[in-house]
Amino acid sequence: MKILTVDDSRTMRDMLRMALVKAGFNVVEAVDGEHGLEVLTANGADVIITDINMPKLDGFGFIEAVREDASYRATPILVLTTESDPAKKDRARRAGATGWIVKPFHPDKLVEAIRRVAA
Amino acid sequence: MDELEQIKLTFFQECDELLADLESGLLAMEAGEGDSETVNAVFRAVHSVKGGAGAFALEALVRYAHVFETLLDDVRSNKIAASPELVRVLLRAADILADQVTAARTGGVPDEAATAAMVGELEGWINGQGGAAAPAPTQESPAGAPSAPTDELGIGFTPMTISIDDFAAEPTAAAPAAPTDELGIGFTPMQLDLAEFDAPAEEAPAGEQAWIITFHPHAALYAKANETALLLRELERLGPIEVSIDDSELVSLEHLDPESAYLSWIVRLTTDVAEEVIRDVFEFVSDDCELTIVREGQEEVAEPAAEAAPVDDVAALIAQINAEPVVAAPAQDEILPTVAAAPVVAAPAPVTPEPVVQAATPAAPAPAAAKAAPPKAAANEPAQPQATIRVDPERIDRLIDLVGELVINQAMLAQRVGEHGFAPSSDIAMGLDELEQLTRGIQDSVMAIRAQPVKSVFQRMPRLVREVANQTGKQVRLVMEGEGTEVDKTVIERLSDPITHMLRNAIDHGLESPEDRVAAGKNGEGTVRLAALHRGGRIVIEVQDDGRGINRGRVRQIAIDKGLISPDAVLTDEETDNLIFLPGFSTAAKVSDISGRGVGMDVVRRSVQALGGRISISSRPGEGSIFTLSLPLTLAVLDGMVIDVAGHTLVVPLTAIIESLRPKSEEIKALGPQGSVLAVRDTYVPLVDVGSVLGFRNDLMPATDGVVLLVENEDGGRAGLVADAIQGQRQVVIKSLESNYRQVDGIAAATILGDGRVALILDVDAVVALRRREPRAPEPILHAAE
Amino acid sequence: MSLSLTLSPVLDLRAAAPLRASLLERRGEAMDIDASSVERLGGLCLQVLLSAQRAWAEDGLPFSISSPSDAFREAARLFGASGRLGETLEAGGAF
Repeated sequence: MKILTVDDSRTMRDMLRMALVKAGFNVVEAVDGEHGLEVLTANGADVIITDINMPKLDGFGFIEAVREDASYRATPILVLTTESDPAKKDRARRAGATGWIVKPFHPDKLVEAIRRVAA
Repeated sequence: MDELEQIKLTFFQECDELLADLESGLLAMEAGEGDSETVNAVFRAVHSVKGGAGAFALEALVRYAHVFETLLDDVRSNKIAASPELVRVLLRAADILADQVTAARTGGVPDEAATAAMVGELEGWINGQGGAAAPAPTQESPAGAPSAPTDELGIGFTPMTISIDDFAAEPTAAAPAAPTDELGIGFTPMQLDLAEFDAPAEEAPAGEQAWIITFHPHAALYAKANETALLLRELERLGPIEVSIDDSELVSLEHLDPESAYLSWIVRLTTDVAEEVIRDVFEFVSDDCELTIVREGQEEVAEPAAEAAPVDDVAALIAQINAEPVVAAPAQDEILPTVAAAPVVAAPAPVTPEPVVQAATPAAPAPAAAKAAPPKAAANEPAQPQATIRVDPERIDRLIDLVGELVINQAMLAQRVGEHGFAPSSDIAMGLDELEQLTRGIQDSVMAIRAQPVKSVFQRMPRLVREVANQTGKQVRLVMEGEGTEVDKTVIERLSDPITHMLRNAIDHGLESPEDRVAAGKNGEGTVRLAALHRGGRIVIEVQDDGRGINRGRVRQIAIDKGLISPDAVLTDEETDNLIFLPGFSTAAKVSDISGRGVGMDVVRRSVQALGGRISISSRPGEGSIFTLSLPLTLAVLDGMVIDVAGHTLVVPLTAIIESLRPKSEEIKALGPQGSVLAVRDTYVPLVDVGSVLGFRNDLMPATDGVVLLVENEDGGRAGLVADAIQGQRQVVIKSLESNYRQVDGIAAATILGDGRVALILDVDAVVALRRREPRAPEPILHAAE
Repeated sequence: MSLSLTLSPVLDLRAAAPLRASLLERRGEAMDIDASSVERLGGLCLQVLLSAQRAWAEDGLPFSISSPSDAFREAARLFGASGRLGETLEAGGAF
């Protein structure tokens, strides 16, 4: 299974990659929403994990853009969020997010979230 | 290195970048140039520091960043206006954040009082009191209190925690002892440790229980890419399930909207986990479905469920299940109403096709390859995604060393070939020429790998400037240019000290007080410009101020008073300005805290020269001064002139040499007991006998017997170095003498020549300075010469 | 001679509308569905299949699902639809 991670923080991308690779997933990475769309088009993905606060195109805009593409309407998208702020979560959900992962995440929790949304 | 440790290193690297972004954003806001994206970027920087710190459980850092972030969030959402006053507070808050990061990196303890004071100040703003009503540092701030920040860290895991209430409701279960453990587990996941974690499903047994779950997805559930099949699979992980479909709402194929949801499900789950855990399965979809979860046999007391599905309906559904024994798992054959008495299948379903975390090899090659696949992944700068490879610096250093050896080897080969009398046009000599070009090309390319922008040094300067401005009571605006200018890593590391000194000097001595400036018709706020640029194969750093300029009369007087120049010396303005670099010169009447402590510009110049660099100053009275520092782009290789001195082979950096001369005796004039000068066109330059200055010989060698290298030092002063002979021009690989031996006066470093001999690289200015000091302070090495 | 319809491997959100359209096109003919290459069966396509099964039954025409893949069987089991589809499958003689 191929997972696209979109986060402007290198640390967070590295953390995600470490946990995901250990769990046996393939990982592709992007550094912001715009880049995420490019990488998705070039590489495809079975699951997308995206940050919300990013330059250029934030997580909300990115999710909306992904959902507008017919090929990715059914691709699960998990948002990463440090906020316990329900408004942000709701907004991500309205944009089309499938689920969320609260940072800091535990690797098992990450894998569990993926399992809940991906076959 | 452990992978997690590696990521931690990355985190701190990233922190440096984020702190720089934070600062430049705040400075833009201060200058009134910030727009909403600037504020967003500033917020993101602190947010990302917090996020990473949370991942590594750096709690002090998380706590501080959280308060900072909260205030920035208010600024971002326009709840609080970014007044100049506030931005100044934010700048100081950014400095404290930098301290916190440093403390976290080194494991040290940050200044707690300063942190507490800043937290108080930030909270004052958050609470709408502005800077005025900042709580005293001693007062316990919420940031120090455990409750709020722990929430921030811990909340992500609370869903996993077993609810104590559920245990309490089941007195028969082995609950009473459990809660503390359960709570503990709820927090352990914060520690990122892949090895030590118990899956939530393996909680203490709470007794088997059958649950009736009714689930009616909405179209929105599928539209967000959630899937009933996966939810059912997750339920089955908790225990055996029996599933039945309710298709009573299903419409005919003609009328069916393929993306509406018509089916609902009734699941009977037998499990020992708490209701909370079952509910967690539906965490992502709870807003996009109707869901009821009730204990079997307690359907009537169904709480929120009752609203969604009237009791009668639930009963009807149950009846339907019973009537329609559509069995889910083939392995299960227990009969419905006797669940509680059926302890047979206690463990969660063994059918778990999930990827196993611990079992996977730590460095799975396939995913690693896939990771390299995306064209623009893993960029250095989030702003400009581009393909990069991260390489251990030691590997590059090793490569550079090897290339250095290659250069030496090539030179040796060339020398041997020359000794065997091959003509320059011979195939071998031409082949060697090509080899030399290739070697140079490889060397340049390898050096480019290690090149870094000076940004890493520049970004530390705004804070310094603020601090010095505060201490001196001056108003300073720092303008930085050319931060992207690249230079070899070896040089980067040595830039910080001289730049720090030049900036301090510019603010402390260069700029006037605000009152004086206004009185002189200037803006009360002085400007200091720090710039980096490439010029003539060197990196040039300029520090310019718009202050009062050098008081030449005073500088001259001091130099005379200290015996540095003779009272009747005729000096150009530039020469006068550069007197401040002379050893023992200090312009400040009282040694100030800032530039002082006995470290004058002479020390700065010496250290710069030791790197093959030059520093000079030029000044215009009333308009300001400009320091110019130039360094070679790398400290790894050097273009030098190889000379013979008293049987030793020395290398003189080519950059210092103007020309070489064979003096005639009538051009040399004795000056004083030891010295002599050489007439070069219409001026005289002092002659320096390198052999005697370095102690290679006792007697001065007549300059007419050898060669004179005309050199220029940093203040533009010239001297003639007397050597026995010149061997030729050559590129040499610098081996640090300090790291291999010790620092030696007059010697900058060593190298290995083509014939394998070690040669010392001359520190030209130091050699000239040694001669100059000679009459006043004879050093042992010079003793024999006297 | 029944019409054959081969199900695509991924029967998710995106597949529901095309699946419904393919089935509607073949209304009025005996139907044999080839489920051998199905890798994923989601709730939306399940309801299309169940609705079609009902429609064919109303028409009194045979409707069968033959050589279901393991993934198809597993999904049907999870959905609690093995019985329902099972009758169909049995009718097709392949379950």
